Amino acid sequence: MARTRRPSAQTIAVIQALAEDPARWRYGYELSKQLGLKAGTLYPILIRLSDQGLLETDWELDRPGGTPPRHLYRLTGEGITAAEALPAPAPKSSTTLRLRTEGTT
Amino acid sequence: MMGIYLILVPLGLAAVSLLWQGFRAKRVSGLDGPVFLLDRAVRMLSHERRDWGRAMTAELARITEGRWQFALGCAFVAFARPVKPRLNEASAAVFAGVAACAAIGVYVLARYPLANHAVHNPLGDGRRVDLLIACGLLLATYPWLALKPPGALAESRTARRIGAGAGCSTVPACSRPR
Repeated sequence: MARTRRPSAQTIAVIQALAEDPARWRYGYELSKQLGLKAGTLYPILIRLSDQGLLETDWELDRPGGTPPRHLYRLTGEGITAAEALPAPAPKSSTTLRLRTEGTT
Repeated sequence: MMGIYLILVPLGLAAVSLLWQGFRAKRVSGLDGPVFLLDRAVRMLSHERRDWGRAMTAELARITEGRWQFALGCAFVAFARPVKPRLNEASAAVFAGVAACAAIGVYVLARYPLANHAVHNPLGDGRRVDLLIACGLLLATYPWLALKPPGALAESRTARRIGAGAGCSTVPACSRPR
């Protein structure tokens, strides 16, 4: 039986970044810079999201200076639904610590 | 000592080969280091992942800062990406298992060197033949366990992990001085 894993914090960040403007195509390096994720972290996430049908990909048409066309990414309809179902960004650690302390006393 | 050579010599040869190819590529075609590294790495991607290799290469072509960092990250992805997504765990298990076996093998060879062996040694030079055979068998067993596990293990990830751990722990057991 297939097991559904909870997405990692980085995966959630990528989905949320793409969901900011779902119609807009994004570049990998642009996402990497925006989220502060290294390529070794970002691309596996993009690959996984694409495999899950949450990410749509395309190639850019405009190629300045004869450079190879870049890959473009945006959420699919399913991806947008998944983004809406995601929890809000995690609270900062100090807040978490305070809540935990309050809960235990 | 021999175990260390078995690991270091192939690694060293691979590194020298890669450096030489990089040097030639730069001289012949003007490829810079990050492009060369990524070009070599994406060749290891499976056919259905080739587009991702092209995507990384195209992205690198537009980057002016942190090119090495980007290329290294992408190369890591190309190394780590399995042929099929389902094999991700299996690949990790193979790498972890082989690394664990190699580490334990080297440790055991260093810890229990040459003497104190009761097994007849056809080489006659004091090498732990039994230990080397055990290590070899385990190195062969790990990929089999991970990639083509028997039915019962295939159904349970925990069972597979326990099996792999048990297999790993037999190395020191086999090598205990008698």
